[in-house]
Amino acid sequence: MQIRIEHATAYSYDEPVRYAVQELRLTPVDTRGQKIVDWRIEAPGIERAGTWIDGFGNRVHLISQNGDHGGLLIRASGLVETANCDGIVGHLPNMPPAGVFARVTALTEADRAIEALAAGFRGRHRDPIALYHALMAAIRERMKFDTGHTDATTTAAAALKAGHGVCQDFAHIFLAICRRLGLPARYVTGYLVADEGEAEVEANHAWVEAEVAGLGWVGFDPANGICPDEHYVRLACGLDATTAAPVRGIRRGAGPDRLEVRVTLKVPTEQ
Amino acid sequence: MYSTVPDRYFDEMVAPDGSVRPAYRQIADWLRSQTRKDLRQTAANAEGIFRRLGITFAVYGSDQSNERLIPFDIIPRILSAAEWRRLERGIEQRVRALNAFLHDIYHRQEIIRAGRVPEKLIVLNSAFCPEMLGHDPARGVYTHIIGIDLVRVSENEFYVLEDNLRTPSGVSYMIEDREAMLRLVPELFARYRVAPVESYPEHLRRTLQSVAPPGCKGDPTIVVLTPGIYNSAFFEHSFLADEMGIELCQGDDLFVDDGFVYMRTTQKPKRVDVVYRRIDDDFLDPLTFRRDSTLGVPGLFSAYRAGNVTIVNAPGTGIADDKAVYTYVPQIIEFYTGEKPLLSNVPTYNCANEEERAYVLDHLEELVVKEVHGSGGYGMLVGPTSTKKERTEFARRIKARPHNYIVQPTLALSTCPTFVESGIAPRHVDLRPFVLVGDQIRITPGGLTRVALKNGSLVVNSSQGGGTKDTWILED
Amino acid sequence: MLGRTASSLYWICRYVERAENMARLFDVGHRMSLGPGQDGRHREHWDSTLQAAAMAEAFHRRHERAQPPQVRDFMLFDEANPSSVRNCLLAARSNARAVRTAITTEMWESINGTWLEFAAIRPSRVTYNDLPALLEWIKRNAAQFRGAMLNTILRDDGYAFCQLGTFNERADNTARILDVKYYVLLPRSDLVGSELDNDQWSMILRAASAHRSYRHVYRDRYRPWNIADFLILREEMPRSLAHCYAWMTRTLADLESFYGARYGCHDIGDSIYERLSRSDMDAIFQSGLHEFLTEFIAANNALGQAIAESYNFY
Repeated sequence: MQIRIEHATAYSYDEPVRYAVQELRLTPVDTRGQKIVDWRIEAPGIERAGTWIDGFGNRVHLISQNGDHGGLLIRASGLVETANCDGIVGHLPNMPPAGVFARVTALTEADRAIEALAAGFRGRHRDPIALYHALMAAIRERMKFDTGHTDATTTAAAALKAGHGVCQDFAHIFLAICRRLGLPARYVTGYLVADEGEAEVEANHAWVEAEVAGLGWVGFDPANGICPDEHYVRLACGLDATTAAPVRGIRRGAGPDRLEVRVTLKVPTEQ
Repeated sequence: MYSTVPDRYFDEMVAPDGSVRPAYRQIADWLRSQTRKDLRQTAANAEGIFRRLGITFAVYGSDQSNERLIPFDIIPRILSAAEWRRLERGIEQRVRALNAFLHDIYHRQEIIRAGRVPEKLIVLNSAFCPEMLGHDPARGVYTHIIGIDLVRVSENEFYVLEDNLRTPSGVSYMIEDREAMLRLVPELFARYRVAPVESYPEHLRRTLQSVAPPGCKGDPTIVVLTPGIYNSAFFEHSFLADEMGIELCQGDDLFVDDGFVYMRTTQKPKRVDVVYRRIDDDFLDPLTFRRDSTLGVPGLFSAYRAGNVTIVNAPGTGIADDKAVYTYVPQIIEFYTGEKPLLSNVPTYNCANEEERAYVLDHLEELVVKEVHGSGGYGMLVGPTSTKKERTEFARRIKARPHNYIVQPTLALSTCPTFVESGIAPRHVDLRPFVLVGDQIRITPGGLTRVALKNGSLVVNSSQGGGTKDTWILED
Repeated sequence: MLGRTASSLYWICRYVERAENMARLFDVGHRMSLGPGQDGRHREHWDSTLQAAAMAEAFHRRHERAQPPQVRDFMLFDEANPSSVRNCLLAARSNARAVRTAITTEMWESINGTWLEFAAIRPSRVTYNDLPALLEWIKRNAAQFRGAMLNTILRDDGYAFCQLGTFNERADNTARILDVKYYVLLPRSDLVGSELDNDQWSMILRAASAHRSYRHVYRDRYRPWNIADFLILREEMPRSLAHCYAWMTRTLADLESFYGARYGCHDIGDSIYERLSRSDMDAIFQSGLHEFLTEFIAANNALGQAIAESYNFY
């Protein structure tokens, strides 16, 4: 399947901002299930950006705006060829040892409720695929998918307590339980196309990858209860939503701002 | 008269048989020639020198304006050339191994794969910095500036108490103490051949130059990054910048543009290649670390990862001087160098082990308990001088969070003659030599001797009433 | 040089200058209050002293009436008054500490020593009789700092920023002293020569440390016309506006050649200096002394801001 992606992030400020700096993790890599046909990032100063590959295999660009400005538009777009690999990602280059992904972060810290949930999965390491599917089911049983109850800073514990959340929250709860069990698992951000045709989606999608002996890393989408297939495009990964964020920035100036993210996914009909 | 406690503590001037140890002979003669009034006058002169130079030290928790002098003792601490050579070899081995360990931990983690260090101890440790994973700093050096705390317990036994691999301070005292001594007692220098310490800033500058990013052409621009005048070590930051002839910057003076670091000058922005930062990791860059930090430079860490600037010491070096990792340093040295450690660790009890914990709880009055993440002598129990109440409190804490504490026997720190109220008396000392790692390893012959001025005290930290002494390494 | 370093050098010197001016103003107020007169007149003196120090409003927010002990505490020791001598010395010293590497040891030792000694003073123990010696001490230490600066600092950009800070502050201070008492300088026939005017004139001159030098220059009794001329237009008088601007324009020109760049501050400085050089007292009195001074104070401020912008103070 071919998926054409347009991912725009727009900041606008009410008062001019003197200085801003952003890290972009907006460069997908080839995996077993996806091949990047073409890809480009447009942003102020992108041609002069500092760039490197971070500890989780993501290509990062550092852009800055020095001098008064009223906003910022970052546009990533391209064409990706996907195939269904039953979620199997295998081993990607530039990844740290798996154990690193057992590290607990502020967003994936367990509380009593997560601890209790994790306890039910103890001793089931022998069949990890079944374990992770059961884990997804358990989360979907407790969580209702809807927006408005959580935001980018909501922790796994808070989301579980609320019983509502978006893909990010489902993923964080999954990670918090895995890490409680000492199982390495990582946060993945990317795109999910509904079906053939064109669609504008509200934002990126997020899911997780966990290690399965013999298969390498395998994707699980707790929000939808399935393993990613050809409808998924993997963009970046990390320990949680913060470290895997496609755009992360900081600015000088206190005025209010507006952030608009627009993701358009198109599946070109074959001629 | 100078009287020691030979059966309990090793004294560096007077041997157990009452004879004066060779390195101290001239000092002993000199002390005999001085009246108490002479010494008091010299001490007063010393204080005048330090106050005028503005060498002060802000004590945490007290008023900002409350800067005070760290007490200085006018009697030097002396090590022979042979003693120093031994230490030097051990230190060099240790810093090589620790740098290799840091590289490994942030790359393939061979030492974990080999089962020498538990994985959890590293990856779950708060001092581990995942942002550093996969980064290759210039020349592969992570910790460039190191202050290793050593204690001596007998003629031939030195122990490493702590490896300070983050932003160790105190080197300005090493240099200024010497400067003061040269002014105060020139006649003593005429009787000894003392290795100079004044080349430290020059060595530091060369070290920093040598780790400029590979893409930097020409003479690299180096800056010292300070949290500002209210930091307790501000004097040192300013002193080092001045001695090296480089700018002393605060976070606001620097900014990142096009992936490079620049400083704001009265003219055009100037590119910066090496940042010797004296700001803790957490506050270094609000984009990557604590977002509420106003001390750091947004994007600095990103510019570092992009290979456009060198941060000295690298972020994340704290994993190698973490108190829980400390107990593995002997294995770390063997793993990376294939040699036996030349300097010993202090034997350390692991409270997570039930048997050892039981022993610890039974013997608290003989032991020293340290919080794994504490520093500066805070959060510490010194058994022999503790009260029953303090011991009960620490026993409770150890039981609640055994991983959070390491426990060591109370070391019989060596004593040195020290001028106090009552005259010349033995006081306990430690030693922090300073090591520089860049294109080569440079160890300044000397270091900071900290002295516990209170009679009987074993705590030498300046925040807890400790003072300093000039440290003389004799040349052959 | 870092923009922050330039800024600190400028402010170290500005604050030392201000500390000295505050001490001198207070001294004059204090002296007047020792003279004969009723309570009402003394209060008026203190009020104008506070006005000349640009702290009348802040003072009256805290105190209803200007009584000597309150004025003393406010001008000399108050931690909440940003221009009290205490805060000026502390700010100068904090700036000096932050840029310790950019100033000479002599400058550091002077400002550090001054602050340490001042900080050791317990305001409640300072008696009426101690005041003259204390004020003398402040003036002497400010002079000592300036001497240390002039004798030891390299004549490069750092020196320029020090001088700009000093003269920017001094010009402001002299203009304020004149403005507070501008009406006693207006040529009026009715009170000329009266005791009251003599008093006021001598106060103005003393506040500008000019009562002796006046005699040397004019060899005449105090005349309002001469006093205004002396403090505004006579370049040889080191606290006059003309003197301050002669230095500032020269210093700005030095910076221009040092950096090879000319900015907005150069134009502002030149135009102020030109206006001073072109003026004579006739013209100034005709268009209004008060208006002239108000305009000058604003222009002098604008120059300070332009310097900060041109050289990246922040």
